[in-house]
Amino acid sequence: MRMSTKRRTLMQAAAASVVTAAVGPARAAPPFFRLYLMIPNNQPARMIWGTLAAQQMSRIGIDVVSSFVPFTVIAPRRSRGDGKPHAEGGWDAYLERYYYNAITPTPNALFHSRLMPPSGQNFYYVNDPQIDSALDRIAGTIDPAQRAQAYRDFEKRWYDTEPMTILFYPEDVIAVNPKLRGFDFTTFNPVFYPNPEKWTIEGGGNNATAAFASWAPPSALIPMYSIGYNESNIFGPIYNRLYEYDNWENKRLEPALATGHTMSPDGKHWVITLRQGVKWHSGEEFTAEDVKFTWDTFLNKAYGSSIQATAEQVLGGPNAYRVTGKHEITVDLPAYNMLFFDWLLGAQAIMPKHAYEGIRPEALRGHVASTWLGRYNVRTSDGRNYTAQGGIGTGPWIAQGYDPQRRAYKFARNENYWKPHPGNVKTFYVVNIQGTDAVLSALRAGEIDAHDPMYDIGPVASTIDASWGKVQTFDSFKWQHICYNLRHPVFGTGVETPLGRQDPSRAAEAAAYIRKAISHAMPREQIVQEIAGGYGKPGTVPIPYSAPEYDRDILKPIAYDLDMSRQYLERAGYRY
Amino acid sequence: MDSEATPTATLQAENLGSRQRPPGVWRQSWYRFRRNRAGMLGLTLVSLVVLIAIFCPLLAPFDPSDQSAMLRGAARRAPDSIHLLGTDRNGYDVLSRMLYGARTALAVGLGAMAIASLIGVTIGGIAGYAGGMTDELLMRFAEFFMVIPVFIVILAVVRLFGIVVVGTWLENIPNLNLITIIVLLGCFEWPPIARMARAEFLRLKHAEFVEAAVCIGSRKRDILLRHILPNALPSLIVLVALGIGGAILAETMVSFLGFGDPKAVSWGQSLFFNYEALKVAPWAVLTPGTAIFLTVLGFNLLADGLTDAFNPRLRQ
Repeated sequence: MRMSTKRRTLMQAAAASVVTAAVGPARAAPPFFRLYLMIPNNQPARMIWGTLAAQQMSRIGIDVVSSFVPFTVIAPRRSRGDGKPHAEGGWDAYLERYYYNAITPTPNALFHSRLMPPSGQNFYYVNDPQIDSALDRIAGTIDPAQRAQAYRDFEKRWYDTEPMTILFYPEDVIAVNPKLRGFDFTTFNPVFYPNPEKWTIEGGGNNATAAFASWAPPSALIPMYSIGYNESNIFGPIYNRLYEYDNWENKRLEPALATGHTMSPDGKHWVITLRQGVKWHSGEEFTAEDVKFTWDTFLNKAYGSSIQATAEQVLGGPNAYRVTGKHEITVDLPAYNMLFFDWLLGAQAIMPKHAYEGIRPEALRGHVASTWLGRYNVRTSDGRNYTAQGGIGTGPWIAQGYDPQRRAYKFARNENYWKPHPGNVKTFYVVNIQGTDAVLSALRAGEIDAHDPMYDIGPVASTIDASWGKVQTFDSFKWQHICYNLRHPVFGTGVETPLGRQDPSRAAEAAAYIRKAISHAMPREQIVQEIAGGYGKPGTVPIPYSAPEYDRDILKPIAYDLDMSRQYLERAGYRY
Repeated sequence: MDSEATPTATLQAENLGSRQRPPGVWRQSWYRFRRNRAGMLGLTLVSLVVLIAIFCPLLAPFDPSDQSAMLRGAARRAPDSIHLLGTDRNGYDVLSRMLYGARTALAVGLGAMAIASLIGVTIGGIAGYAGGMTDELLMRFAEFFMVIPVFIVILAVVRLFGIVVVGTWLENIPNLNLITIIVLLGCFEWPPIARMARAEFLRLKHAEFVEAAVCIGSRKRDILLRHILPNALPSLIVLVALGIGGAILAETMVSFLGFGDPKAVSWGQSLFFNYEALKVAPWAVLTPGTAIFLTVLGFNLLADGLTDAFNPRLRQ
């Protein structure tokens, strides 16, 4: 009898599993709308919180189609500039880590409605008059108090409408060789960037070799083409800016290729004096013509730089500046713009006119100066020939091309650098290593001395032994977000929401309700603690958490509350 | 009397005949297989995986996509009384993912090899039986498929398919990515089966019992399906059993590279998400790793046992 009951139970179980497999779990109510979420597949931690985010959205009634894709799939979709949704070849939403091009937050370079793609970087189609107004005042106000108010207005409006879901502000966690000194001088270029000329390897004598790990191979090594980690790590040591950040601790701009400037009271007229006696790696003298050439190149659409629109916004056009001396350049801006100093002077590398002028605009991206694969000759004004193996700059390191034996980009110390080298490193490598475990293995084996923050070693930092790795943390000045195509008819413009259809004048309001619903469904604290290893802070708006501009009075943490999410969706007209 | 004696005699003759008829190839093989310890271990492991796949909804303590552990701060938690094998970086219950992963593994293994067998036996059978130019053409066609790097094709097609199906009815098919992987594996794993089927059909078409069938006027279809194919099956089954393990490993590798089906519960995907936390949460890696190892081992031992059972002379 007992056997018979057991057998019956087993039979029932088998039948139940067959039915479940065939029919699937009990059907829930139909979802309100579909959202395609692209999760970049280059960072397992982000894939984890991306999966969690998708599941949380499903819990409030959104049909999320998530996919793990390389960023090369996302980039062309978002850069199309037509705002089409995912099903029509554009995009709906994706996950991203972002940062500004200057340490002073410059949201005006990312979210202004004038900066839509393909020539601008407002890939999200943020188009809000209140945000535009605040951004214009951030950019155009000289008075610090007025600018602070403009930042507050921007933050308040963003906090109320949440054009993107800011998940958290990550902390950069880096493990370095315990014998490495001077890594603290790592600075901003505009991403977190090492200064190997300040490194000292204990016991390395006066001729030490150092190596730095960078996640992926670079796309192009001309600075105006890309400012991501993969590129900055390599071109950064070669070039100089007019002003540079002193170090990560102070984050202050100090003169570099410029020695100083004067500014008129209205902020429009600038005279910049340049450093004399600086030589390019080729031996050519650095002059104001190089600065003019660099800015001309930024503005010339034929070069296809993604910073063209921002440069044009700041300078107006090539007539805004003129060479007024061998080492002096005078600028008349159409209007004061904070980006001029913080971004154009402080974050954009100066390129050599004598070396790059002869390269056709459309050929520059594929030239050896950009790929570092091969050699090319440069003729200096005094008739000498210089053979370059990569980019030519005025920086502390000279490009030695790509070393196939080490699978690394090689650098030699520039002994004629205009500043002294305080460290003992004479040969420097940037090695491409993919994967957190791989980079830690390389550190343990002594193959590298430090790595960039892309590896997200935070969750495994506890496994690093002090004998082979010293863990250092830095505020990253970045944020991780879910960004939305704000031209999407549901969560972008809201015209396809029930409320938007009923009352088109409230469509944008309905879209904001949906975004806020998603925002409240995100367990930010748990993401930081459980996935990022505790290295970060829950996010609110795209202003770095540790920046002085971050207003803690306005920006209270966004609660994880699914009931509130559902209430917001109901306000948008959806019924549970 | 005669009318009664005749049926009795016939019955006795039939009984005598049934007692004297030697056991068939399947019975003999099973007899030999039972004496093969490795083969029996393989069968046990495979049976276990099949049972787990069938009964996982009853056995698993949590839903495989339940990330509630993450929400209550219990991701990467070591095994305890609630989560018997701990939780992983995603906050999933490791035991539940391991149990449900058996379904995916079997679906991939059996699905891919069913497709491969269908294609392989059809093409190999036709080539072997028809011979001549047909044989040449079909075998060159099979060789063409053997040199294609299947992994690259899978990665490319999965990516391309993910773009093409957007906004179409195909998108509503559950686990489309996984189905794509199964179909692709099936479409590229058939050549070895085709070669074996060709060899068997070539050998068997000259066998006496086939010639006898031809003499009595059997149709070609009957000869192929009723006489040759059943006798070719033992060799093919060994290849299929081996192929199932291979297909499971292939799907695991695709998932481990981050190209798997995000919605499928896959052991390879569990490895992908957790391998970097090997030192922090080893249970999250060791569990799917062990599951893959035992399943593939099971199918390989089973195949080994079947080889010995069906072809005892090979061992000698």
